[in-house]
Amino acid sequence: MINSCIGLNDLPDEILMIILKKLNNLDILPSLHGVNQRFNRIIQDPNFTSRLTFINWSLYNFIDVLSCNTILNRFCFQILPAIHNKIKWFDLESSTMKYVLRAAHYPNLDSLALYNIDEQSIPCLLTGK
Amino acid sequence: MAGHKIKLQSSDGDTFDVEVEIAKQSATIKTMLEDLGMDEEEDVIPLPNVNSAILKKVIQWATHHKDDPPPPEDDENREKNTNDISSWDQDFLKVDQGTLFELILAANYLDIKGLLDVTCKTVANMIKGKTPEEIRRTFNIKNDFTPQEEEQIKKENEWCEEK
Repeated sequence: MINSCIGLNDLPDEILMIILKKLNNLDILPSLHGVNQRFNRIIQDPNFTSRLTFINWSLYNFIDVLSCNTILNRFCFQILPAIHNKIKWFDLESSTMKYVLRAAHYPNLDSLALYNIDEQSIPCLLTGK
Repeated sequence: MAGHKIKLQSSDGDTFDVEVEIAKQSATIKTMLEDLGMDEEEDVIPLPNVNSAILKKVIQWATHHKDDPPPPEDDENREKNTNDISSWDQDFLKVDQGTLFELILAANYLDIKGLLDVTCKTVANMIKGKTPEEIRRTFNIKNDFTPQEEEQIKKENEWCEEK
């Protein structure tokens, strides 16, 4: 019988980083943003915030991870405004692109990969309207 | 030498006879044996950061995995997969959270890559798909936001669900 009262929040940052690096950023951010002050700080690490890929590649298609409104709103209202200055790269799908790009100002964004782009989305992207 | 044993001593003073090849899965112990020339059966390796209950579990894991090939080097670009834990490891890690976290700390201290990998993947799977509130409940984490911050989060949550 092992009696131990060590909890997740007692692990050093170094170990939490090892655990979190096993997950994709889109698993980490909605689950841990807002847990407590410490996790809000840890998830700001560039490992988890510099590139956000909002699509999954399936065999024949791209799947938009933000197709669920609750997740999209959680990112747009809470997570992206909190980490906006850390983001350098987005992988986005056309249907949710405008919500993500309008959710915050991204001063360090230098790469944008767009998928399933249609003709209507291009002027919207270029003119910002 | 096959079957050659060394003694490992836990933080609470218990000693365990372990085959050298099994103990050497720990890079920490391997370095001690090689650098300090500790290869006599009567030599005792003290492990002050691991108690006997956890050391026993670590030895059990290392014994089962003694013939495994060396784990691959870390590659940040490799696709992240937490669903490749063997059924033996899954059963081995059906333990209370405290034991799981102690095993992670021991694997890190002893530098046993394979054990660190499966224990961390197990915790990662416990995190995946949960809301922050579920994370706090699952891992008994205190919400330390100020009432003002909490009120703001609550409002934002309402927007997230309504829109």
